[in-house]
Amino acid sequence: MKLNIIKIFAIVPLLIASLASCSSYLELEPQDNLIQDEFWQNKEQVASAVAGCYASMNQSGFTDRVLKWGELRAEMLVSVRAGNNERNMMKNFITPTNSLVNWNNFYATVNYCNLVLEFTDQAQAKDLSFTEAEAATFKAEALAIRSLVYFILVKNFKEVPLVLTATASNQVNFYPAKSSESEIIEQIVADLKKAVEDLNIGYEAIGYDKGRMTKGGALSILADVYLWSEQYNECINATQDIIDSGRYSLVDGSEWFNSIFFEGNSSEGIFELQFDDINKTYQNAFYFGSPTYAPFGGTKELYVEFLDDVRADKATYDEDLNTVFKFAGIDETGLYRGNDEFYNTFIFYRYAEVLLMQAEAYIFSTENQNLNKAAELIGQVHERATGAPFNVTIDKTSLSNALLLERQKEFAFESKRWYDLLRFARRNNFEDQFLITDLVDLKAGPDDYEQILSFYSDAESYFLPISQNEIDLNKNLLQNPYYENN
Amino acid sequence: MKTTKLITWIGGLFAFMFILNSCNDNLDGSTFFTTDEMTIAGTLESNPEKFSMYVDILQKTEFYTAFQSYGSYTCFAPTNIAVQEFLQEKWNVSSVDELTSEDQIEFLKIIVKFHTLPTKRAASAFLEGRIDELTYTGDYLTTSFVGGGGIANVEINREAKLDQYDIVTNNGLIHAIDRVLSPFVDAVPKVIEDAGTHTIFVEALKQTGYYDVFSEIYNEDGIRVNFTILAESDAIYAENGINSFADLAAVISPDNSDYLDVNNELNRFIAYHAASDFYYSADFPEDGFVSTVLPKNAIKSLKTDKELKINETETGTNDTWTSLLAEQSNLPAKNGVYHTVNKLLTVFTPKPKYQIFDFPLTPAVGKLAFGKWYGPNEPNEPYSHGYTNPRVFPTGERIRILRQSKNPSYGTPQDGGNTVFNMGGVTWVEWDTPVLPKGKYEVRVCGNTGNNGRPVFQVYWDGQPIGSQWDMRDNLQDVFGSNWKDVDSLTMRQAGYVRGLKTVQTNQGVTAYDSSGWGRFIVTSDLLCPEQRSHVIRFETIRSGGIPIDYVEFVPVN
Repeated sequence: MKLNIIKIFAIVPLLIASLASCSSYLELEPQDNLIQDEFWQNKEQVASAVAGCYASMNQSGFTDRVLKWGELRAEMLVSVRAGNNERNMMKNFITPTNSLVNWNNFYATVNYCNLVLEFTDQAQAKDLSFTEAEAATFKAEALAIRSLVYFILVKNFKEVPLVLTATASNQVNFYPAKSSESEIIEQIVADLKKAVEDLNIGYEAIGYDKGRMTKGGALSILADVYLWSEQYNECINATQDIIDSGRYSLVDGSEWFNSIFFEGNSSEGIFELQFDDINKTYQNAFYFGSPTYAPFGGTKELYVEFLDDVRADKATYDEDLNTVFKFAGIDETGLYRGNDEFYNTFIFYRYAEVLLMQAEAYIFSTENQNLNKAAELIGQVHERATGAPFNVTIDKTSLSNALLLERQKEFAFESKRWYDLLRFARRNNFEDQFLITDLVDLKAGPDDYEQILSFYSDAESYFLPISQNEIDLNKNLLQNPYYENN
Repeated sequence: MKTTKLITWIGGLFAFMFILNSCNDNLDGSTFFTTDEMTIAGTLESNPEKFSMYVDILQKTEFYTAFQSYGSYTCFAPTNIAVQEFLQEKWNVSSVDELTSEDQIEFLKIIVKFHTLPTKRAASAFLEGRIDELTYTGDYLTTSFVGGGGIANVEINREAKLDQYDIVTNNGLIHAIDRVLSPFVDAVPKVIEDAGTHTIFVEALKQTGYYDVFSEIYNEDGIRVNFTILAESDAIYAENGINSFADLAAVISPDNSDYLDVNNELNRFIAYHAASDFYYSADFPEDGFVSTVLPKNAIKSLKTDKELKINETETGTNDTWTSLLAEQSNLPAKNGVYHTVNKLLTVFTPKPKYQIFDFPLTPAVGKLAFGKWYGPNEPNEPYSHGYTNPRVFPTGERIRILRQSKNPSYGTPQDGGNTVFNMGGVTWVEWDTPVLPKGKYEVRVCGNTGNNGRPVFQVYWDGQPIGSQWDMRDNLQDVFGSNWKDVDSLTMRQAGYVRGLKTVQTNQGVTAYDSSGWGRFIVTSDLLCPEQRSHVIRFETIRSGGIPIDYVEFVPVN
């Protein structure tokens, strides 16, 4: 009998335990509500959330893609030991299952920005020391970062979902459809204009001045967006605002490599992502002991015309080791960064590009075309590097060819080349598609010419497929037709 | 007492059942599988709007169960529209059910075998040329990018396009195609003739008797024979002022019209346009010779960064070399492939040059799947090659290609690198070498040495023993001691060895040069080849053992 009682007593706790084990079904409150409500209380928290936006770009998942999307489909880098996905991208053979097309990191940043935009006012209301102007600046930083991210997405995917609200509650549409390129551009332009108004001109500390969004940073993105969307007059104005600010200048030719790339945050820098830790993207790609990529065979040829081009050997590339020197080297003696010395910044915009963007706008603008002005602007960048005068026939074709070449030389390996080619190629309904199909001559070997030519033949293929994962999860997302496979 | 006990138990039981019920999950009644992927058969069947007719064919031909079971296939599945068109064209019927005669079923079986590969080949592996694996009919399917438009526009056998690619199943891959592929029936000459663009060349084939020679599909032993033909199109002849067969004959053989005579210049010219094996453009050696049907002659193949150069003189003074016109090349037939050259291809006499004869890359062997054993002369096996080069004794020994990335064995990027030719113990194995230009050579061999299970060889050259014995049991460390890397090259040469190649390495980056097991054995340093021709190199075992041999080098000696 005693035993039986024990048995009964044994059953009761079991029963209780079993009830408890199922009780979590009863909690209907979304578990993150408390956290969000508790978090957005004061200025410090908003400041750290904004810092989180920058930190989210600081991931190799983000910067790796910025580099690979900007370079691999163009010609400047060849593989030394790149992976399959990368080598396929170098042939413009990209499928929706290629993990390089995964945009998660980019939307993570978008969401961090959206959180700041959504909750900053709430925090400002609760914190008496938090002024409206300060709140506006934080929001402007988030807007500018979000615009930069969407601009990168639009250049690569052409059409992507435009998510402007934070996924902080279950009221959000989890299945957004794509927006058109023009809708996204319109949104970015509006956001950037707003951001330019509210952003600081600069910061005391150099790392902040270059590493945080400033008026100059937002204007640079805006100018680039205008150039991409062929709004040349607006581009001229935006770049002029940067020039007129007087805050930036070209570094001296003799300091070109050291100041801009080795030390970073030069007087030329406008927006450079700062790294507390190692810049893994450049370390993995360019460390001279085991580089993933090397400069393409024609790199040296680009610079031979001007003997004293400061951008040539032991600056942009190393002729002896056939490596990318720009991010991996230390000085002209051919010293290299150690594997644990990649404290590079990741430069998004610098003043030389502002000048060349304005030059491009002056060349292609109908109302404000000014070829002499364009030549003068290209000349500034050219002469700084070569010490030689910029002598090009002043006509539209010659200047635009010279500009594209100057950009190739100045921004080699800076994740710009593919977009340059694409931007030039696609004007007037891909009138200059040869700029891209000519890449095949550089990329093909004896057995794969037809194959690679085929991969570059369709202009639709110049934009990436949406990751298959996203397509599977979101029924409203339509694949870029070129990649449809069903 | 007993009742209380019972009540306790019953009460306990109820309580326990209550516990069980309270957390009941909704998955009851579901069946679980180790994988959520379907088989090829299941996938085809679950997409009836696209594949129901091909499923009908599979069921009719009893291949359906094969695609339902364990395995690894690539299935080129024609869509319903494609099958419909095919049935209409071929038999004027609209459904598979209407096909009942034995002939019809037999043909359907050939269709299915022709559309199936014995391994997985994803679209990312497609090249301009053949797909690596033979179909179950023993043919190569080809993929072509000349139409542009990327992977979705790839043409299979230049007649069907991909409708959908890389459909993953648990026993292979499916590629949907928009036409039923026509199984190869015709030999190369007929295929060239049907193209209609090479009429002068075809006439020359007929006049010289090679039309029939190259139309052979099986030899007298029932083994598949293959030809690669490099043809000039009428347009290329026209560029050279040749507008008819008579013009061609007048240029090549103006004084002798006995074109059937093997010594006739036109006869030789045509024989020089063919090789006795499969050479899709990707199969042409990086830098080496391809023996032609014209005896003692070869085409020199050199691949630069950019292009394939045929018969390049190496003087660099003039571009007399020939290349292939992509649009009209890599075109398949039942017994081979043809290409169109972009210039007149005339008989060329090469100079002696360094040659590496990589056993796994010889055309007859180089197309075998890695790691799988192949028997000789098995024409009935659906995907056996029936290899004829090498020959082995006792006959019947099986061969395989081993790919071992941990070994620094020679290979090229196209075969994935690091391959060796491998077989068990035999009395001898012999190879036809590529054509060697006349001259004097040093002959070196390399294989995976340094294991007591390896053989000792005497090498024979055209039936005569040459040089000293190659003891594969010894690696460089066995011969020179643990400081073998410090031994100078002259001492090493005097003992009959050269260190391995610096250019090949393991997946860990260790070169053959630094690997004791991959040194090169010098068979002889003064092999005289008084005339240009192909030779027979035989490895006769003095002591038997497993044979992992890699390559032979022919180094010209002044």
